[in-house]
Amino acid sequence: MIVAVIHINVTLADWGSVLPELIIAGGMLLLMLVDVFVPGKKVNLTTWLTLIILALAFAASWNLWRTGGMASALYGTVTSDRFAMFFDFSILISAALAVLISPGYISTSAFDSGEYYALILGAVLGMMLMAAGLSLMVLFIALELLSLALYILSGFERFRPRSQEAGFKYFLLSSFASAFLLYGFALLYGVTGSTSLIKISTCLAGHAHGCSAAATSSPLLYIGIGLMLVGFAFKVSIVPFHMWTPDVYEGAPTPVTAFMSVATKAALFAAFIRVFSMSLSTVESHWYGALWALAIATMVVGNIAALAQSNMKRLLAYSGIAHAGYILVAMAANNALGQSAVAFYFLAYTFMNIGAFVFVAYLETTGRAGDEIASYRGIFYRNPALALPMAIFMFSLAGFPPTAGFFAKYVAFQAAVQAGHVDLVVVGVITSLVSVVYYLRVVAVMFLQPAEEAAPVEQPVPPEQPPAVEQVPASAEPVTRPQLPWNIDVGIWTAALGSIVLGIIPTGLLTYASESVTAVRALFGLP
Amino acid sequence: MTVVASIVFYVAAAIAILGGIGVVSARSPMYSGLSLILTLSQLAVLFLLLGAQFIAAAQILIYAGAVMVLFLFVIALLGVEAYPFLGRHLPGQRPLSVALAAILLAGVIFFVAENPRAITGAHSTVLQSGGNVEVFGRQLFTSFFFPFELTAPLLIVAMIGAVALSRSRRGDTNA
Repeated sequence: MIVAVIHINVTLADWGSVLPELIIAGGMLLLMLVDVFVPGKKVNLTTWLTLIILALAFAASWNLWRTGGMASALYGTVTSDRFAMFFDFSILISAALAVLISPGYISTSAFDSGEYYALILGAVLGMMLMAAGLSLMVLFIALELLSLALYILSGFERFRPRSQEAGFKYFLLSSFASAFLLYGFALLYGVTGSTSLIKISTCLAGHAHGCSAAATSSPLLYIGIGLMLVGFAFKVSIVPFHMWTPDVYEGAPTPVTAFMSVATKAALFAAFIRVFSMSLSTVESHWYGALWALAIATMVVGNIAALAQSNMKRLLAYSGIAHAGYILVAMAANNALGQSAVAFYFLAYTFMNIGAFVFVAYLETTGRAGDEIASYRGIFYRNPALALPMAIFMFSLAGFPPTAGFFAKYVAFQAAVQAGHVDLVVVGVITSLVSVVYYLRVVAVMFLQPAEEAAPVEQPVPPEQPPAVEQVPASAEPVTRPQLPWNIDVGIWTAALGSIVLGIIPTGLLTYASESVTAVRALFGLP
Repeated sequence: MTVVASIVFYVAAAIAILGGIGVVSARSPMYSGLSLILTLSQLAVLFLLLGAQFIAAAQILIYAGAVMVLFLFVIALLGVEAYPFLGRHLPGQRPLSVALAAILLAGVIFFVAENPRAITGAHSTVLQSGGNVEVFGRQLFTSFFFPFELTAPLLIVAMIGAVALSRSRRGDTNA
């Protein structure tokens, strides 16, 4: 009789390093239970609960950041280094902002709030693991987790054809991309004999036994890198793998679009950097050329296509594609500054991009067609508290100083210059100038005089039930200056404040970003 | 290989090939699906002969069991007779599929002829370390413990999604 004893070598410290993820996973289960056992309307309850769970996860991440975390935990499959934590901050902030603007949408679209928030937390869990994964296995499962949750959320308004189309299109195309990525992972494993990113990097650097000496020149490595590049490029919507983006962004419920436009990209870029810039750094010559071409194509196509958009959500989709191009420039620089630039970019992008979506989401819940740019005519005179922050977001996305967008772009281009890729920077600056046209067009429309035949002042949303707010006396109906619901107020001004503060005093956060990159580079033995 | 093992091998291989022919030649998709189950179950026998007990079990449970049952379910639910276009072939499908199959066969023969050790070598290493199932179990509960646990939230999200998307309109007024 054979007695096999397996010692599972997992300590409390291992669990501690995935504490933020555990909080999110527990929160997901809690929300499901609340959904079942609490009777009646529970939008307020679930919204607050989700915000509290996100805040707890943020606190746990902050604690791990403070102590520096564990370089590798749970058999080297995950890390809690500062790089992962920095991206966690972006992911959690964008999730919190998206949750904050959801109640109005939930009421008007008759969502089941418990399921909706549980799926949001599921996506957050996948994203945080994506940023923290040190093993190809964890990366793939995390990717599936976040993608699956987002497919469902995109099609969550299942009686609106646009939403159905978005969910279905996203599901079909994106699972195809997952297959590409998985095939690439499998080939990379086949060449190097390990699923651990750190072991893969030591194998390719040529000092590891049990690893073929010819690994770096194996044709399978080239094919694997190509397949992984396609997979990542699709998920972060890089040209020419971007075709799904406008349709999905337009069709999905707006808070979901806001969340996924920022957090998915942040998580995927964190993994992209960990796999390509870290693990495959010794074979940079294999993939630099492809990255260069993708960056140029993305910046050019994204910005030019955005010029022709008349729908705000489609415009923001193309603008997101263009921004992915700028981020790719920073990544292609492949130096510490470039990687810090990517980390910083996402923090800035969180505020300015979600801010713009808060604006769209609010106008949609007021019952007017909220995502046609033409319908924004004269909105400044009706509702300056809404139009002013929106102008800030547009300036920031276009990259005007002194906003966060300007500084993020500046650091990204500076890193590329430092690495000697002036060609990328030239294209980046020219396409940024093009982008000014469509961002400023939105601002111009908002500040135009309202047309004579324009409908009267928009109603202050009777169906809107912001969480836990004191009932606003409904008798005061014909207000000339509509009061924003407090959650929209908080969301839009937080985002505006973030967009400005990161632009005026960026040094502190930039230091944090470069600290996080130092941590991840040390993990892979890079200077 | 012992005599018994060779007999088992040839019988299982012959049935697997017959099943494969059945998949492409059967008129009804239902028979195609059933033939595929036959092939997959015989492949499981071949895996057993190679000492890969775990893959054999997984082949039966996952492919012949779960995946193929799903296939047959969908075929039965759709009622294939209602969709006459499903029986039609793409232009040039037959010669193309023969050519692709020939390329695959040539590739496999080439690979085996080049290094026969690649197949037999792995076999003995696995057996020495206590059999396929034990090696697999050890890996699953040590190195791949965390990814394994992570499939739990993945399944929960899939379940929430299935419930949320398939429920009828009546149930969702309690938002």
